[in-house]
Amino acid sequence: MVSFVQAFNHGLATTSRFIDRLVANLCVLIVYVMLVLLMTQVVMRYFLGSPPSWTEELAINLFTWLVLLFASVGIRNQFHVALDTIPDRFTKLKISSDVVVSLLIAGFSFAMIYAGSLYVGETLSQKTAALQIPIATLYVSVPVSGAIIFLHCLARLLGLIMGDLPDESARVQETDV
Amino acid sequence: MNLVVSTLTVGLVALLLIRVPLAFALGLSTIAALLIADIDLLIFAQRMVSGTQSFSLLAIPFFILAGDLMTAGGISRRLVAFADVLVRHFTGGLGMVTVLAAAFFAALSGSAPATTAAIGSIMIPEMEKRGYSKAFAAALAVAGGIIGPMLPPSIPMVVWGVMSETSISDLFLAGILPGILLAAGLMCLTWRYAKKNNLPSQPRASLAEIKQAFNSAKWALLGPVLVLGGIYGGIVTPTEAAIVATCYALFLGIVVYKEIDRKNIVRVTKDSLKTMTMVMFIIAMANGFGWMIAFEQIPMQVTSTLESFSDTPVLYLLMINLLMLVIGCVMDNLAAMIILASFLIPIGQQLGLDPVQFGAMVAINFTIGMATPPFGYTIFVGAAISRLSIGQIARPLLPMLGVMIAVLMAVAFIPSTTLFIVELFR
Repeated sequence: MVSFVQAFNHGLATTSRFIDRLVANLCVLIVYVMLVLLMTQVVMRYFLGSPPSWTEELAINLFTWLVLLFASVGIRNQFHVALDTIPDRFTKLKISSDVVVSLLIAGFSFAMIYAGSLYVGETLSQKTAALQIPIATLYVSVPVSGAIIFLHCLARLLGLIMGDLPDESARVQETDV
Repeated sequence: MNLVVSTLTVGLVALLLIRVPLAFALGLSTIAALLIADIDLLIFAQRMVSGTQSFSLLAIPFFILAGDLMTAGGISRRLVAFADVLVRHFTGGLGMVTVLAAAFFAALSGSAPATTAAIGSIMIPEMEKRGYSKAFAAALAVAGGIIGPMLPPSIPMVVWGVMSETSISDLFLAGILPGILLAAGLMCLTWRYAKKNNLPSQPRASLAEIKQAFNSAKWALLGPVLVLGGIYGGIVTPTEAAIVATCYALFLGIVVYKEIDRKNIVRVTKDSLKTMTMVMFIIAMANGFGWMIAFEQIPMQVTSTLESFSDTPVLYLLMINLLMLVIGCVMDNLAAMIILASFLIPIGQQLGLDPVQFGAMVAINFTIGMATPPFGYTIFVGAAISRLSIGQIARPLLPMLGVMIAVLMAVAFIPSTTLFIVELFR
């Protein structure tokens, strides 16, 4: 039983790390895709007089994806700003507060999955103004990012309970400003 | 106060106290309030998405990225060197270099912590070497950082422009004089500090030195000319200016200074993404929270209660500013602006202020809160790079906060502080 839990914990930690790297690198790519799109728009507007109608729409939709996806990276690497109400020397209290916070964020991610799926369901038939692609391609970012946040939360919770924190989060916290 | 309102307010504070990150505390209290008020949870997802769906807000990630790329490309070092040859011979010259370099950097960056990090990491050790106390040096870097969002571009002004539907270009212009005033005030404080502590000044730079420093910094100095010239020449919108600035920073870092390569560009971009997401996820969550507050019609109740004060506008304006300063101290500045927009916009109308002046006042007021704990990212950055505690920095920072508040009062009570430059361009 114990070894099963350990194996599950290990697998979860590995998955969480893999998804984290994948998402972070994907986000870097999205940034430069947005840059190229918007630069194309600026150049076409000022030198050719006719900007394509779809670059702005696509860039804004990618922006929403970017913010929501990278928010999940923030869960794993703990860069979201929080008040530091517990001094470092109260280690036990800090860990129990970490557990409560992770549980609450897991609840939050569940609401993202639930509310996001409802929203996607409501808007299935709608299409975007310029690109004429289903608008659900934008809204599906909410449940997707919710699911990734849930995964990281679960990995963190198990890590906290089993007593081995993912090494990255400890390191990042130190260098964080 | 009904149950929904107390869930929002008390819930938010309680969540923050048990160390839930601000964005999630805003989201969780919104979810709880929606459940209690029996509103479809779908609204939560909808507001989260709509909080990021704005072309104007796209300026934020790209101004952050441009600033980070420029720092990685070695621009802050060159700006410091240029500021150095200009003012180092005055009494308190090195402190003035810090302020001037922060002002130069501010014209490329819209963020206070980024400005403090870029300039402070270079200048705090230098000042310490020349006899300034470390605490004073760190405080000056923190206060200098506040110039960042006052001189255009400015992240808080982008956010307020979006919330209040005020022209972001005009708001940028309105920040120029206050930014210069703050820089001048900080330089006076440095002069007084150097005089009191008998700090020796350095030799005046020769013309050849100035020329050399200018040559090394000229591309960096051209950045603001390009960005601001583009916006006020009517060529580009603020968001497009951010795009152009990013491309320019990439060009400088890769082609001219050759300090950005395939290896560090990914790291720099991830750092920018981190800063951007911290800001944008709070904005997305504050959007839902603000919607819930407005849905409960709290803004209307509050502003109609305050209506009676509008007979004494001077007192009213003072009171509003004081209230915002207090809120800015205990709350993240952007979240405060988004949540309170539905209160503040009608108050601005009651006061009869020009929306641009009022907007600049709100943005500057909340920006001052970035130099104070608990949500003062700028003072955190100052503490991190100087390895001092916040308490140690707070002491020398106090008179500097006084200068900031003096500038704020000028913005609130002398319309031409903000509107003079705006009128020039109208």
